[in-house]
Amino acid sequence: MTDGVPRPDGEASAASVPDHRRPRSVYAVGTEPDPRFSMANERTALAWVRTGLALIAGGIALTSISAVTDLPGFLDVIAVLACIFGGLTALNALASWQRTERAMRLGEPLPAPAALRWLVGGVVIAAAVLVGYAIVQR
Amino acid sequence: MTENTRRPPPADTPGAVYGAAAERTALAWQRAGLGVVVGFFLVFRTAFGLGVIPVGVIAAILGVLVAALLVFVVPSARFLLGHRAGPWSALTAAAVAVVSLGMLGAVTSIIVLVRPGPG
Repeated sequence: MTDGVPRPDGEASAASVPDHRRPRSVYAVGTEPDPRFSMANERTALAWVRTGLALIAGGIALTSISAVTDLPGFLDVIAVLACIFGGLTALNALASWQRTERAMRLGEPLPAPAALRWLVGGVVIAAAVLVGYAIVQR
Repeated sequence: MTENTRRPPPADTPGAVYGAAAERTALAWQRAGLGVVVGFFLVFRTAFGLGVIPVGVIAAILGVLVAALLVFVVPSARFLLGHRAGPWSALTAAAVAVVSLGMLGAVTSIIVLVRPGPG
């Protein structure tokens, strides 16, 4: 293939066009992977971004409900933590995309999703606190 | 009887090889963009409803900026640059938007938490 489009079998393209894509720490190394894998990596990063959005939306909803119904202050603390973790989740999307794309270009094993355990742990703890509060208030 | 003359594309064309991956990716971007814009609207509405006006104003301004960026700038740039445009700048913009949203939400919650109650 000589038109600059990467080959689906993972071989590097024979393009003579210089690659100016950013970040250079990713695109300056290795060979071009199958575009389907790159797009799947991009969609995974977007899924992390949407997860961060969901955490923030949950935090804002909690603040709103807490203010309207005069709930105790610790629910606002959980809301603040949810908003902060939502932002961190979005930042993790960037780092995770970069690590995975680099590993694919270098033909290395994909990195483990380290943030997943923090996300699951945080959601489980928040859910346990809210369920405990609901049971106590009955 | 009319014969269906539509034939599948040759196996070596990009459409046959890559399938609908590009379409799914574009839809994922649209979902994320919609989520960001709706998130800013949620913060804007909540902050105004709770009397935290400055946060609401910032959320409204940022929300309009992000919406304009997502609708006009990012799709045009990626279309013009073709497959040579990596997703890094768009991903960074989305992450910065979500971090801003998180900070606005956290500030709103903190203000609601520390301000004196109506009683």
